[in-house]
Amino acid sequence: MKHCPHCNVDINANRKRCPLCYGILVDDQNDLTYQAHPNKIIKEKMTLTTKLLLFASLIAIAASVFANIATLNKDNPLYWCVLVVVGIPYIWLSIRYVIISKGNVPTKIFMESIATMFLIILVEIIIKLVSGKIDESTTMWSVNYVVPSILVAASIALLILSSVLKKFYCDSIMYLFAFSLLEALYFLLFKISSFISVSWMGYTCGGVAIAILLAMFIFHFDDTKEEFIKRFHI
Amino acid sequence: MKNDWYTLDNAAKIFPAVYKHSDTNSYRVSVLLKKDVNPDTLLIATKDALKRFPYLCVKLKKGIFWYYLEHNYNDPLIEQEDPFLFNSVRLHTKAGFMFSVTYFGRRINLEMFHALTDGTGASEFLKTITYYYLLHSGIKIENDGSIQTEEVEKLSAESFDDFNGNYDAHVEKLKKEEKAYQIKGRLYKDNWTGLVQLILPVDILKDIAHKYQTTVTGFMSAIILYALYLSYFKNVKQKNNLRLFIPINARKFFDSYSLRNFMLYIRTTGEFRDKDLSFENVVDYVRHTLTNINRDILLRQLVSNVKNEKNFFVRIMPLFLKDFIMRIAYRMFGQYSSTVSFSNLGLLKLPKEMENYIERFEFLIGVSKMSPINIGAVSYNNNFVLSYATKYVDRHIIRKIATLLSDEGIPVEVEVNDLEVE
Repeated sequence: MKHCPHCNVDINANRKRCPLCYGILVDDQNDLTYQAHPNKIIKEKMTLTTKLLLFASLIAIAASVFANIATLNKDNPLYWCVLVVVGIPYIWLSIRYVIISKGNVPTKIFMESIATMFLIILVEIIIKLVSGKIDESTTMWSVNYVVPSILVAASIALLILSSVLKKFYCDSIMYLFAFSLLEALYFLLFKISSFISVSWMGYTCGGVAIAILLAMFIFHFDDTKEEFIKRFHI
Repeated sequence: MKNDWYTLDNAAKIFPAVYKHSDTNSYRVSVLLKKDVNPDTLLIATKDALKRFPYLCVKLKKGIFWYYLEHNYNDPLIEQEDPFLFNSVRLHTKAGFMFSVTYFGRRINLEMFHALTDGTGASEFLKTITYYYLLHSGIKIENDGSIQTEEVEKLSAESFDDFNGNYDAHVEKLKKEEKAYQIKGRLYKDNWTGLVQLILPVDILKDIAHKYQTTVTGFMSAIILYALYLSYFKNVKQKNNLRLFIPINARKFFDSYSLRNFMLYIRTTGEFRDKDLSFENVVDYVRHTLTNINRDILLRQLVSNVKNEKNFFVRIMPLFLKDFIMRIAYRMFGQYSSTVSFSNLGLLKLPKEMENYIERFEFLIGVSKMSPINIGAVSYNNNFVLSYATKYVDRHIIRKIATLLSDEGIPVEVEVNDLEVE
């Protein structure tokens, strides 16, 4: 224990100067000093490995753009670099918000599915736009095959996971409900527009939407009802 | 799984909307033991204590219209103390608890997100953790009723939202309060929070407070106000008045057993501008403010707080919109009616057998750029610990407080969390 004669206080720290008035402290052998608080450590916001990976990613994006332009066939242009330009940031975001993130598994499945659907639709649109291959009659494979496949696969996977591991069920209910709504919406778009043309995909989506809703209410009625009460309480 | 969820109490509703890593709206209650903490025993003790406080064993969830609390099935994490104060509560990561239990040397810290409970609730929880910690360390303790371990029939009353329970639509709201003087200063780098703790003997402090015909809370409030007056108001013309925010434990005024948030507050009302005041004048101001606290005034304040929540249009407004409006309102009006907060948890009581193993308790109120200086206090045995948390590098206010106390003949021991810059 040290003493500040100016402030007339005892200081429990191994210091030369008073933390209040910055005057010189004098020793007082009354008591043993202990470390009261942990030392300040500033954590680096980004490690060297992360910096190296970020650098490599940016180089890869730039290199793919230059290589694509340098080797472009002017009669039949193919802008494959779009996949790299959009894909690499997507991988970074997935690692950050899905793999490293400590959020719950149902949230991760839902967010990853939605992000992947939008990414693939975006890639197809960009490729077709820059290649000049888009018009009203264009059939989009991303919308006709990829989107319904992801919706069906993710919703079934989530239903099985939450049924096997009960602790996930309450966290999954709203996402299962959201998947069902998206599948029903897809089925509706298939029925009223010509934009979606693959009929078996449309019917599969509609069927899975109904099956999931039925499963939620038949096998987990109490939990589903309770979850709706919680989420919608006013 | 049924019925294991809770709505947020009235005071809690603002905090999830304004939660940020740099402003977690949390506070800390700590206990300093006489021996180093064993983290394994601490984990067992925390799990045992959580069984007694199920309404604290929750995680925050988003509904369509309001947030709510749902039972958390994860195990709590016990970690080494983070040197950055009020930084260890993580609502959406780690195990998702709205509090954190950390340790450093002989100290156990309970950092609590304010949406869950107030200082009284947190101190009861920490007392129970400490009780189980000592029991599991092989100490024999006869619980004299000062530790919440049994009486599970009280759980319903403890988890009750007494803001809504005491709401009376016929009671008039309080008028909007004027803006108070705001302290400016140089911020620490890296979002660091400075801490200066003054450790004072309770018996001497009580004697001096009685000499001024006030309580320990009244005396310390006067010391803080007088230190602020000397620093910013004496011989300086100021536009806004000096106002100290003092939380009031509403339980004793409303016969409440709730251990969720149930605090109201007062702000000191004396005039500090253009006046030549002595310390005795400031003690009179504080005495006047404290003696005017009564159930009617607190009820009007409670009604002012709850009235907005009862509005039908507010209730049916989607949560994202409520969050957006609350964030703006918090930034515009949140802290501007007070200069500094001072909260005294009072004298904590524990069974006699625990006294030999506990040195003292500490109570720290979280600070942010908007509310850069807050002061917490708590007493145990003969140790009164005043914890001055600040975002500002400057030390003149706490130096004034320390020297005013020392001039009154009170022995002052100081601890700080800064490293000395040579």
